[in-house]
Amino acid sequence: VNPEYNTDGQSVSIVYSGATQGWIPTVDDDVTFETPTNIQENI
Amino acid sequence: MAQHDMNIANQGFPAFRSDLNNALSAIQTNHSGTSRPTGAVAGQIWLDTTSATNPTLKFFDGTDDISLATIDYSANTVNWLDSTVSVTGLATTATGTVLTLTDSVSTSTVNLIIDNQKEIRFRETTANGTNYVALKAPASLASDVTFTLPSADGTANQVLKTDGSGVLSFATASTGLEWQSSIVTTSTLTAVANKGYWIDTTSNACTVTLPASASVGDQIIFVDYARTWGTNKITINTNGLNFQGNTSWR
Repeated sequence: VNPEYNTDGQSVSIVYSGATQGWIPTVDDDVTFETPTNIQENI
Repeated sequence: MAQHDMNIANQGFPAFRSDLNNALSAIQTNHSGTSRPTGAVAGQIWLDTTSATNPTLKFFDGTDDISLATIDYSANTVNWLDSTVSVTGLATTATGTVLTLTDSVSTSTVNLIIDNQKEIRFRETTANGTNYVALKAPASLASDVTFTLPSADGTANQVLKTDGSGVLSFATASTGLEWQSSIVTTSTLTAVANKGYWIDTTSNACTVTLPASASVGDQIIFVDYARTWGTNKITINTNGLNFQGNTSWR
């Protein structure tokens, strides 16, 4: 069982903290695109 | 060794000749003897041979004998004894032996002061010329600064650092993060500490193997280059080290 990253647009930054905790992700977020907003007006 | 009162008496020739030869012998040996020569006059220099292998050169001022230097027959050195001795290129207010120069060793038992931003120069091999490497003080200092050198050599590529108090030591330089110019498209990647990787999983998933050993502060960054990790994932092989404290990933 290994750590996996499976999200589009993700970036992972890991830093080694020592033997006890080992590698720790400091950043492992994904970047999502903004959802377009449709504006409809009744004229 | 010989001494003479430096007075040639009125005498017959054989005695005169002997007396003169004794006077010349005294001059030749710098009036060597274990006590001041009889009839010494102010200004006379003589060699006190009380110590046969470390005689003392003395100056008679008319009343006292002033020691100038001791001569070491074994080491072939001269130790000037006067408290305000001034030798070309050397000056000190310290007493006793302050600087010993021999063919192979120069030893100072006191601080060595290089004044007025002058340099300590280390010259190249004589056969190659007279170029040198020099060290010197800055033009202005707010206070004294002392650097204490490391007690041992470092390892390759280490740099000198300070503890803020002038104590220097060797340490591994922080290189920062080095981003890789090529895009990783392979199914495996062996990651190296302090590097950043662009990983494109458009065609396949990628298993990243972390370093087998690491130092505190090592950093690695992976970036989804083509927004395809949702299709083909990244798997981290921790290679024997913990990951977020989890040993099951080891």
